[in-house]
Amino acid sequence: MSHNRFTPLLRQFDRELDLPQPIKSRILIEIADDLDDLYTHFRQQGLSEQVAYARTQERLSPTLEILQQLRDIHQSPVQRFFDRIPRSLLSRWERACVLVILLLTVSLSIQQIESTSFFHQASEFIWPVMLAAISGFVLLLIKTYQILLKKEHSPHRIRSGVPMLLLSAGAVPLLSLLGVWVEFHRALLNLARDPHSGYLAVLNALLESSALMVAGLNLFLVLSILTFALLWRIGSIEEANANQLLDPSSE
Amino acid sequence: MAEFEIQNLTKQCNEILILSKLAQGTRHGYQLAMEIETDSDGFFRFNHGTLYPILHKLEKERLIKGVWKPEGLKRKRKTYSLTARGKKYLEQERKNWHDFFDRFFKVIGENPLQE
Repeated sequence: MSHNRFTPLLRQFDRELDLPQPIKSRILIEIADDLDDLYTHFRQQGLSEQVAYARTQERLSPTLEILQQLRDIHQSPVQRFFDRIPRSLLSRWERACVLVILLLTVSLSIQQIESTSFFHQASEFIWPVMLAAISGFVLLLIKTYQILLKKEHSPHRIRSGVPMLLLSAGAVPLLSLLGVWVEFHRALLNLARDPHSGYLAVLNALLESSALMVAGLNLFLVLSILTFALLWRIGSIEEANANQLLDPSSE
Repeated sequence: MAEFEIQNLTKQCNEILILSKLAQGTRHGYQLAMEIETDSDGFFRFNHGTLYPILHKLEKERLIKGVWKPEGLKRKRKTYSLTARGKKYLEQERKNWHDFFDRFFKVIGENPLQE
């Protein structure tokens, strides 16, 4: 499919049509196809390239007002709601929401840890593990809000925060594993120092380490499933972006 | 008779033109624009992409259905067709437009003005 002739126009529509993917791509592809076909039609009628281009543009190239109408038709109710709120207020409101979510997540996690005997059994390494998991969940919440609710699908911003999210998620099993080995090392040192009573330390280390590992792996499992779903969504948005006929080679 | 909102008359008119064309079979967006223009001897013309908001609105209202169909080797094109709901709506709207013009000419008169 060749839309090179109209690429500058399509780029302009892309900038001005403030809609999430893949809706935006579909609209642009539809317009691009029609522009191409109508141009061919005019050329077949014997019009010169310039005249055919001008006439095609006159018929099918949407004005800012038309793009706004398309935006209104396809906007989700959530986006419409956010659009009504002034930008400055929205940004303050967002920050407050993120803070509330953060505090809620942290307090609920601490409550959960304190009320579960399982967490009491785990070694002290449960704290860095929990910290990594909580940061992962908070980042996931922020990215989900940006992508699914706020529809921030700009190619430059869509993957912002993802490396940090992957780092947090990856740190959970790694920290758990580190905790297990440190606990074992300590227990073995005790055993070496006092062979008669050291076996109790080994038993204790085994209990703490297994609890830590189970907690860490559970958290990692949940976090990785949610991260995978988010990355899948990002991937499909990026694919839609790529199919958007804004072929860089046409520049 | 359904009420016509005068300020929306052009919009309603454009919608009916598109629905009527789609009642004849599936069409691409630009085909609709060209055929309406040709059939009306250039009287009805969709300029500056005015066609797209109408098509997308009708699609949202499920009066028409847009389908991406393969055309050629790699190409996929969006074609529109009238839905059963759209057909029903079109029938009703045609009656409404007849009623509208009956009353309109009743008011303005059809005979030549006397000097």
